[in-house]
Amino acid sequence: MKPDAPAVLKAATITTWLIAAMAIGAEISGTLKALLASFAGHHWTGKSIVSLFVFVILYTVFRRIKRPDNLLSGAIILALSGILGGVAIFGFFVAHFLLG
Amino acid sequence: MTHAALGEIGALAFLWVAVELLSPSESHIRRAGIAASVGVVLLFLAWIAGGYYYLTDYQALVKPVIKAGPYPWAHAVITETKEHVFLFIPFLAIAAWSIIRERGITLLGDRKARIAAVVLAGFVVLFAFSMAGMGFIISSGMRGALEAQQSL
Repeated sequence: MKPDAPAVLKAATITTWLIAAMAIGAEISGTLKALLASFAGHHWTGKSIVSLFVFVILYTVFRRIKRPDNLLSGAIILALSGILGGVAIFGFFVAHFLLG
Repeated sequence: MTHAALGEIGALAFLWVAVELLSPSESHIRRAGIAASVGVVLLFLAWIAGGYYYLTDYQALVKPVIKAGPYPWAHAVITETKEHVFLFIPFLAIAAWSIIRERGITLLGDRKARIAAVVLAGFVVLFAFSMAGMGFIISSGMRGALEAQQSL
């Protein structure tokens, strides 16, 4: 069975932002960090599991929605999401370290 | 480090993907598909191996030494960034793979889709090699901490 590339791109983009949100959110909220650790033993493992689960769910949903898609735009949006998400994560941890 | 080897070979697989797609032909696209499949598997294995190392040896042996040493930011900033930005990579890799797998030989006539796959493969390489760079910084933080301990 062939994958649905536009659905993968959309799911991956949202998952990327979810990862960035969890990375920052878990540092701000002890409750979120504890929740992520509660079902996986460690908050990083929890983030890994949640990101995989959300990706699969989103892919399944987007597969069913057939719309004209521009693969190149989707790829650029995904790549830029990675860059911006990475910058946000790095910037947060720099500020977190400097401000204590 | 097993996770580093798996990750960097996975990155090289996607470099191969990009090179094959930049001068497309039927055989190049077929090889790009194989390289992408191998790359996705390697990056998922790197996820597991890296996670295992991070949750065991790094937590117990490396993190406390770095945090007590002269470069605690090597953990507080670099490791924290690395462990989260890494999570982007498998999804970027699956996205690149899915374009090649779905479009197959039609990539020959679909320049935009081909560029999309090249862009994503390129970003897999970029992110994966940034992992290596951050790993070097973290190791340097550990080395600096050990040297500081020895000089006391």
